[in-house]
Amino acid sequence: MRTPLPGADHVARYCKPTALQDGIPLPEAFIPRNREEYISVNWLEYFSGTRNKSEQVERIRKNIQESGSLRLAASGKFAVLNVGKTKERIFDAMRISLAIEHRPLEDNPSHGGIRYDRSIESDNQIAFELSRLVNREDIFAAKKIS
Amino acid sequence: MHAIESLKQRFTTKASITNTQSSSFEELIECLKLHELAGSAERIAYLCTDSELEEEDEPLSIESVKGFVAFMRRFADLGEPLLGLSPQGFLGSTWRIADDKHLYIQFLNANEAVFSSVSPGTQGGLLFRMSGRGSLPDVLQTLRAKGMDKWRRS
Repeated sequence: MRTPLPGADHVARYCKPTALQDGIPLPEAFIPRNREEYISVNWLEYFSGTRNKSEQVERIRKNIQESGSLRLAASGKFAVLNVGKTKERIFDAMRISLAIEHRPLEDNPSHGGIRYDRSIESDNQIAFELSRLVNREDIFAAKKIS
Repeated sequence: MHAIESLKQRFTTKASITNTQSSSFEELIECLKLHELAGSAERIAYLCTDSELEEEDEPLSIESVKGFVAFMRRFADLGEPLLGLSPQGFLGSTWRIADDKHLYIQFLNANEAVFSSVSPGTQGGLLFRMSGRGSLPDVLQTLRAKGMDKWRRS
């Protein structure tokens, strides 16, 4: 099932340590694996009853850890993007219409994807623009420091 | 001959990097240090360890690192970039010189690269975007034509 996400909502992308420097997501954080058709993300507003991005990311983190759907590194981060602004930026920069969708998985119900026609060139350009969109206040630790 | 002197001599000829088919990561890292790119050397040493790799990710490609080293020998004035590893094993380098001067290059092998950039546009406030894929000499020529090799100085 694929459902387009509202422009006012947000998605979080898990960024591996090798795609971060000084805690800042690099373009590599937004490059999918070869077999993937889209950039995997999680939909923040999926979890009702949460008051802010920090709580929403916490719910996503908890779900991922409990399900084991992704290995979160201690120095990894989540980068949060606004759906509407992301689509607008990519269209303005490249004239490409992104599809940002909710694509729930059995063990990861908030899972979603950022989809476009993939090639080495489009991966490079889109990853570059997405990394430029992330502000410091939109970066969250992937693991809670206890 | 002392080992460092030997390395220096090896990496000072014009085509030395792309011709070193047998270069190891250690030699390339040493070469970066010799060219006063200690930060990049340290980062590549980290990226070429497998400890952070996930099962499906490709390890850092040595050919990609050769491409980066060859690029830096010609664009040294850009200064040290931020370096990341793509799931395909390509080394990516990012320069964020100012809000309107960003460059991102992925080295696909020792002689091919794909890049994206923004630079100041001709009209106030507008950004000029440029991207492409090609042989390393072609990419170098394209970026040089836009004055990106002088970004740090301007």
